Amino acid sequence: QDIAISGKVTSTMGEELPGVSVLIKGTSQGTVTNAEGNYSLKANSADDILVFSFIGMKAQEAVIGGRSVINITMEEDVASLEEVIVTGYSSESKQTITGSVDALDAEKAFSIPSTSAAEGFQGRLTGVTVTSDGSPGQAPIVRVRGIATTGNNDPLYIIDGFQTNDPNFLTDLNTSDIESVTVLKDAAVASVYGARATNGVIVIKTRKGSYNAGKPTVTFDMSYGVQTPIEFPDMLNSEQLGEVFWQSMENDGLTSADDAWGHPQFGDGDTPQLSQFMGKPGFDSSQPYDADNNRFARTSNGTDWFDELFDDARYQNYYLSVNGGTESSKYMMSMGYMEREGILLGTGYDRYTGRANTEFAINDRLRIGQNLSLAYSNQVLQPGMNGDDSPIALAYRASPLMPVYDEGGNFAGTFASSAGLGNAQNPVAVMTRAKDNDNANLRVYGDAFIEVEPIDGLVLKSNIGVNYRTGVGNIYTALNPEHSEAITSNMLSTGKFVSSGYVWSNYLSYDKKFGNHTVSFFGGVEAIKNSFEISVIQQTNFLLGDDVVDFRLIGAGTGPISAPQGSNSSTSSSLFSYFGKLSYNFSNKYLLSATLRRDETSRFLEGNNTGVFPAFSLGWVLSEEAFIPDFIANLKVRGSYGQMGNQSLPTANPVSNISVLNDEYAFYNFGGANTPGAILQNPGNPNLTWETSVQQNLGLDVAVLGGDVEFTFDYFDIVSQDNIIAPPTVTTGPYAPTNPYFNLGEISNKGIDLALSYANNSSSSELKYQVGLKVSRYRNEILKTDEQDNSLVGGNIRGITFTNSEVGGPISSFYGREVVGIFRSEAEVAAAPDHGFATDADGVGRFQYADLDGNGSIDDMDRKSLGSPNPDFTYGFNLDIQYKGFDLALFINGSKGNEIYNYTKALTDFPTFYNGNRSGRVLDAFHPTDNPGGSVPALSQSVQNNETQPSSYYVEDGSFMRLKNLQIGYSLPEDIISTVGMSRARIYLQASNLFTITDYSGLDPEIGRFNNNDIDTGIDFGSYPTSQTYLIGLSVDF
Amino acid sequence: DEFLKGTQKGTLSDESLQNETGVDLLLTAAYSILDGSVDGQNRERSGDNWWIDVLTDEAHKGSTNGDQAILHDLQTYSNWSTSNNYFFLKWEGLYAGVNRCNAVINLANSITDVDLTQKIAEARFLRGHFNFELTRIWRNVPYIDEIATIENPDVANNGPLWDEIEADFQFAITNLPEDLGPGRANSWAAKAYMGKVHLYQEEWTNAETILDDVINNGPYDLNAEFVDNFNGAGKNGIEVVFSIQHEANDGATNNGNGNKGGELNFPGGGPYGSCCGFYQPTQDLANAFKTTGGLPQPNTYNNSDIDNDYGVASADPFTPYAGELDPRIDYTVGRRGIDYNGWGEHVGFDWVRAQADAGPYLPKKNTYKAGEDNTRGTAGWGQQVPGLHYNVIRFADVLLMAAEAKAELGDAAGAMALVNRVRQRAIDMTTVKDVANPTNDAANYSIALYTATDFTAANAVELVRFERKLELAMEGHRYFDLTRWGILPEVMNEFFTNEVRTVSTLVTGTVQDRHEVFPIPLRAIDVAENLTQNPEWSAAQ
Repeated sequence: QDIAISGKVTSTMGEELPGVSVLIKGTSQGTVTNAEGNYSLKANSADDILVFSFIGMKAQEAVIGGRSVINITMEEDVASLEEVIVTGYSSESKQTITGSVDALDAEKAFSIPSTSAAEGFQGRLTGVTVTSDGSPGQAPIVRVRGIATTGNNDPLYIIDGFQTNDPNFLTDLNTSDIESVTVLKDAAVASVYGARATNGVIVIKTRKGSYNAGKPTVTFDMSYGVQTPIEFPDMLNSEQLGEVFWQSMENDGLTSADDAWGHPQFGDGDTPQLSQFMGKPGFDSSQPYDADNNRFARTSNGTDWFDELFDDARYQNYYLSVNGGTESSKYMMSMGYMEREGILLGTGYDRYTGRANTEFAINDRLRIGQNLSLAYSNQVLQPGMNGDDSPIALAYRASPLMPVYDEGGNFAGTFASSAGLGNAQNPVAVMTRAKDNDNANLRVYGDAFIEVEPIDGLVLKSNIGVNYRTGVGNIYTALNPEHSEAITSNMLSTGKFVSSGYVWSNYLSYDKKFGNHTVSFFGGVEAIKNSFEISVIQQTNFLLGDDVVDFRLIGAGTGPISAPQGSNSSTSSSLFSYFGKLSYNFSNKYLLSATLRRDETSRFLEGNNTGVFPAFSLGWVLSEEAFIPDFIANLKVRGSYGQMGNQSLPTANPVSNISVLNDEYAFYNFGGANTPGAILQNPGNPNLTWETSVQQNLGLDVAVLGGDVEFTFDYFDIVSQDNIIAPPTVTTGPYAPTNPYFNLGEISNKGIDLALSYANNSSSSELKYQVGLKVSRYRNEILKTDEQDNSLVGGNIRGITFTNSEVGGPISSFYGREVVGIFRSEAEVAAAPDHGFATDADGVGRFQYADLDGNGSIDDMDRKSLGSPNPDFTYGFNLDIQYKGFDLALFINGSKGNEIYNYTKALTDFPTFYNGNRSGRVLDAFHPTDNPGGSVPALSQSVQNNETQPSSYYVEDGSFMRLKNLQIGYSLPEDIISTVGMSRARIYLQASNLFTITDYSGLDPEIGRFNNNDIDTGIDFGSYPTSQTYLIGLSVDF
Repeated sequence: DEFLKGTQKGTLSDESLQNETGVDLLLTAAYSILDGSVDGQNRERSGDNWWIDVLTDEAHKGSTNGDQAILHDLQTYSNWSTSNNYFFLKWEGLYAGVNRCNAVINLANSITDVDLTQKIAEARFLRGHFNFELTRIWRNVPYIDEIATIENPDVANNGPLWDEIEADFQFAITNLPEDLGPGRANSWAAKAYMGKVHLYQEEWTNAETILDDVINNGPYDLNAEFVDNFNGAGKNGIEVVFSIQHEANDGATNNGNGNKGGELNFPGGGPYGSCCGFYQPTQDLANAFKTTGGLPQPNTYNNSDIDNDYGVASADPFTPYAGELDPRIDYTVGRRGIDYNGWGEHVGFDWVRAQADAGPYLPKKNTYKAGEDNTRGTAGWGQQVPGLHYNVIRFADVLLMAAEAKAELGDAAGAMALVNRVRQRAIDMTTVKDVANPTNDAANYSIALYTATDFTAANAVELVRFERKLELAMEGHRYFDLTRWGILPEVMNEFFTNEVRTVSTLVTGTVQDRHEVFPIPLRAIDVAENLTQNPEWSAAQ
C-alpha cells in the first residue's frame, strides 16, 4: 500500500462530482470524492484498477499504470434513472425532479437530414407537436401542449445562455452541435421563465468537450444523397380536359348550334378537336417564329406540370469538429456546410455554420466560459407558397394544353385570355425566373459566463447572451411576355433587416445536504432587450433585361426609387425580471419545490406591466418506500400547479395608438400637390396586460426490470386566461382600424403525454435493442372570446373564410355547409329542402346540403363546424438494434384524427378557373345517363350551388403514419481502424419517408399553415410536399 | 425605468398628432381612401364604382368570362353569392373610409386650443360620402360614428343612414367655406351632395331647392369641352363639383395616388400595351346614342343595332355605322374605325381582349388620352394606374339631378331648360374627327335641343333619365339610377334579350327585385354577429 493516487472527478458538463465512489477493483478498499470532486487513496500496485461509480453516471475503470494523478470525466448514463435533466438555469436529477420534462435522444433524432432542429423534435418529445411542410430552410411550427392563444404560440428557446422566441434559431443551429434537448412542459420546471413560459420552454445545450479528455477528438461526418418527390396528384391530359369542356357545355344546355359552344383550342364541333398550335393573338404558325410579333407554341397533349416542376434534388452535409480538454480547460469547435436543394424547381437552402465553445477552470472556485455560434445561410426566396397563385397551386391550375416551351425555345404561356388557357402562369417559368432571388442571413449568437464558488455549495454566475441577425433579401420580378396578363415593367425589391438582442442573467445557486434533508436554491435577476429594424426599397425598369442577373441592384434600374413606408419599421422591447426556485427533498423520497418569477415588461404600461408568476410542486418517490417490491426500480408520482404568462403580441406596442405615414395608402394629391397623410395603424389599449395561464400537471414515472422498462405518464390541464384578442368589428380590415387588443379570451388545453420504452440494458447479450413509443394528446377548447362570445374568424382568400372557431369548440375549426350527397333525380331535389334552384332539373347532379337549422331552406345559416386540424394524438415509435458492428434504427411518426381543409379541390374539381386543369376525380362526375352514380357533382361551365364555398367536401382526414427514418450502419472494428489512427468509423445508409399511410388526397398530409396564424392552420393551398431521401453517410473520429 | 421603454421608431404617437398638423395628416388620409385603395386589393373597392356599372346595361365586365369569374357571376345575375368577394371588399373599403373620418373628428375634438371646426366639417363631408355609398349599395348598414368605433363596435344594421348622412352634409354646408382649393370639400359641393341625397329619397322639393341654389349661385359651369371631364388637361376645371384626385407618377410608392381600382380597365391589346381589357361598353349603350333629327330615341333605340365588328378580324374590312349619332358617343364608347382617344383608329378585334365574351367596344372616359403621358401610371404586372380624376359629382350631373326633381314635380319646362343646357354643350363641343381626314367628323353626328313639343310633362321624367344615360354613361351612376327608379329588373332583362344579338355567347340569369340591393357580405356577418342579412338575401340560394 504505497502508491499514492489522487485526482478529480467531473461530469461531462464540467461539474465537480462529490460523493463518487472510488474502489480498487476486487477489493473493498476505496474512498469517495469530496465536495470539490477530489479524492486521494493508496493503491497496492501499478496493476490495480480503480473503479469509479456514481449514480446517474456510467461506471469507469482506470488502470493505474505509472500514474499518481488520475482525473476522470464521468459520462452520464443515459439509460439510467438517475439521468440529469437540464432545466435552463440549473440541472436536476431525473430521480428527484418534480416537473414534467422530456429529453431528446439527440444522437438519434439528428441522424436524419434536417435543416431545422425542430424536425428532430417531431414524434420524439412528448407534448410537442411539430408542423412542417417540405420547403427547405423554412422554420417549422413547434407547439407545446396545444394552442394557448390566438396570438403567438411559439415556445421559448434557451440555447446555452441565450433565450429567444424566434423559431428561426432552429434553422441556424447545426444539429450536429447539439448535445441535449429538453422540453419543460409544466409549471414546476417552466414557470421560472415567467411571462414567456406559457407556450413551454425548450432547452438546448450544445456540445462542450470535457476536462481531462486527453488528446483532442476530431470528428468528421458527412452525408450525401438524393431527395425525390413522393407522389403526384392525378390530373387530366388535354384530351380528357377537352371532354370535360364538352360535357360541361352539354350539361349547361348548350348544343353545337349555339354561338357559345366550343373552345378556342378544341374548336366548336360535336367533339373536341385539339388544335395544332396556340399563341399570341393573330399568330401565324406558317410564318417564322418571332418572340415579339409572332410568338406561338405547339399545343401539348398533356403537360404534366407536377412532373415538370418537381425533380430529384441533392442533399449534402459536411461537419468537422474537434473537442477535448485539459485539466483546466475544455473546448469544442466545429464547422459545417449543408446544402439542401428543393425538389420544387428553383428552391433550395444552404448553410455554413461555425461554433467555438470553451470553458476554463481558473481554479477550484472560478470558471469562465463562452459559447459562440455563426450561421450564414441562403434561402432562395420564392413566390408566396400559400394562396392560389403559389407555384404548386399553379401546377394544379395550369392548362395541360400549354407546353413548357414555345417554338422559339422561350417559355410558353397562356398568351391571351381568348386563347382559352386560363390565367395560371407557366409554373416552370415562374420558378425559373425566381431562382436567383436570394435571402442571405448572417446570425451571430452566443454567450459568455463567469461562475464563482466562494464557499462550498454556493455558486454565483453571471451570463451575457447576445444575438445579432442580419439579412438581405432580393426579389426580382422579371417580365413574362408569354403570359396573358404580362408584366410591363420589371422590378427589384431589396429588403435589409437587423435583429439584435441581449440577455444578461445574474444568479446564485446553493445546495446543501443536512442528513436526510437536501435543500437547493437558486435565484437571480435578468435583463432582456430585443430590437428589430427593416428597410425595403424598390426600383423598376431594369433596362439590361431580365437575363443579366448581375445588374439586379437597386442603382441599376431606371425607374423611380421608392421606400414603401408600410414595409419599413424599427421596434424594440425589453424585460426585467427577478426569479427564484427553492427545492427540498427528504431522503430522495419526499420532494417539494416552489418557484417565483417577477417580470416587468416594456410591452405594457406601468401598473399593468409587472407580473408575478408562482408555481409549486410535490413528488413522492414510492420506490424508496419499503412496501414497494424491489422489481420496481422506480415509481414516482408528482404534481405541479403554477401560473405562467405570454407577452408575445402581434404588434410592437399594443398599449398606445400607433399612427404611421404611408405614402402608398394615406397620401393624397390635392390639385397636383402630393400631400402627406397618416393613418392609425394600431389602436392601443392602455389597460392591456399579460396573458396568464394556469397550469396543472399530474405525472407518474415507472421503471421496472432493473430500469429496462420505463414508463412516463402525464396529465395536464392548462387554462390560458386574459388572452389578448382584438374583438372583430363590422369594419375589421386592412388599414381600417381594427379594435385595440383587450384581455378577453380564454382557452383550455387538456391532455396526456405518454412515453414507454424497453431496452435490454441489463442483458449481457451482444444484441442490444431498444424500442420506444411516445404519444402526445391535447384537447383544445375555446372557453371565451369576447363579451359577446363572437366566434374567431380566420383569414380569407378571395372572400372565402375557411375557419370560424366558436366557443366550446377547438381553435381553427373549419366552418361551412355539410354535403349530404349528390342529387340524382328531380324527385330528390323536389323532396329536399329548398336549395334555391330555379327548377328542380337545375338541381340534378348538384350537392345536396344538410338543412341544419331545419327551416326548409338552404342558406347561410346552414353552416357548422366541420372538424379541425387539431389531432386526437400524435406519436412516434422507434426501434434501435445493435449487433456487433451493425446498427439499425427505425423511426415512425404520425398523427391521428386531424382534419385538413383541401382547398386545392376548389381549383381542380370545379370551374373556379374554367380553363384550368382538373383533377382525375372529375372523370367520375355525375351524369344523368352516362354516370348516374358519379361521386363528383355534374360538370358545368360555372360554379353552381355554392359548391366552392366551404363545405364538408373539402374536409378530409389528415391522419398519417410515416416511416420517417430507416438507417442501417456498420462500425468498422476498432483493431482495424486504430491502425490508421481512427477511434471510430461508421458508414451508414439511410432512407427518410420511405412510406406513408394516409387517406389524405392532397400532395402531402404534412402541411404548413396559412396567414402565419394559429386560427388558420390545416388549410392546404398546395403545400410544399415532403420528399423521400436516400443518403449514404460516413462518420469518423480521430 | 428607461430600460423598460419599448420603442417603435418612425411612427406617430397620439401626443405628436395632438395638433393641427396631426389633424391635417389624418384628414389627408381620409381623402386618400376615396379611391378605396387600402392594400393590394383595389379593383373591388374602387372609388369610381366601375364594377357596379358592369352590373348594368352600360358595360360588360370585359376580358373572358372566366377572368374574375365572380364578377361574371354578378354581371350575368347568375349567382349573387353572399360571399362574393366584390361585396366584402367594397364594404371593407368604405368602412375604412368611415373610420378614417372618425379618426379625424375624434382627434380634432380633443384639441381645444385651436378652432378646427372646418377640418371636422371636411371629415364629416367625407363621412357623408362613405355612408351614402354604403346606404345606396346595401340599404341596411350599421352606423359607426366617432364614438362607436372603439367603444361599441358591434352595432346592428338597422336601416338606411339618410338622417346621419344629411346631418354630416348639413354640418359641412354650415361650416365649410365656399372654396378650399382643388380636391377639397367646400360648402357648394356639400350642397350639391345634399341635393343628391334628397334625390335618392325622392324628396323632390328639397332636392330642387338646394340644387337650384348650386346652379344659380354656385361657382360651377359646364366645361366648353365635354372631354375635359375625362382627361388630364381638364382636371379641376369649372365643371368639377367633387372629384377623386387620382394622380400618377407623383412620387408615391407604387403609384399610390393613382386610380388603382381602375387597374384592369384598359384595352387588353392596343395602344398602351395594357393588360386587362375590362369594363367594356355594351352594344346597348352604343345604340342609345342613335339620334333622329338630333334627338335620342329612348323607346326604340334598341330595335336595331348600330353596325359593329363583333367576330370580324382586324384584318377584315369593316365600315362604321353611317346613321345619325349623338357626338358624345365617341367620347364614351371606343368603336372600330373611330379614333381612340387620339391614339389612332380603334382597329377592332386585336385591341379587345376577348371580343367573343364581352363585345367589340372599348372604354374611353377612364382611359388615357394621347399626349398626356403624365396621366399614365403603370404597376407591377400589366395593369394600369391611371392619373385621371374621377368625378363623384360634376356640374352636368347637378343640372340633370335638378332637372329630374323638376320633372318629378311636374315642371317640364324647367327640366327641359336644364337638359338643353347639357345638350347645348354637346352641340358646341369639338367633335371627334376622322383619323384619315381630320377636317371631317369621325361619324355622322347629329344633336339638337329639345323643344316644348318633344319634351312634355308626360315624358319629362323619361327624357331626363335618358339624358343621364347619355351624358353620364360609364361614370359609375347607372346601377344606382336604375335601382332608385325601381326599374332594374325590367331594364336589365330587356337588355339581356337585346344584347345577345351582338354578344352571342352571353348567358344570363334573371334579374329580380332583390338585385336592387346587395347582400350584406357574409364575411362581415361572420365577424360581427350583430349584423343581419338583408331580407332579400336571407332566402335559399
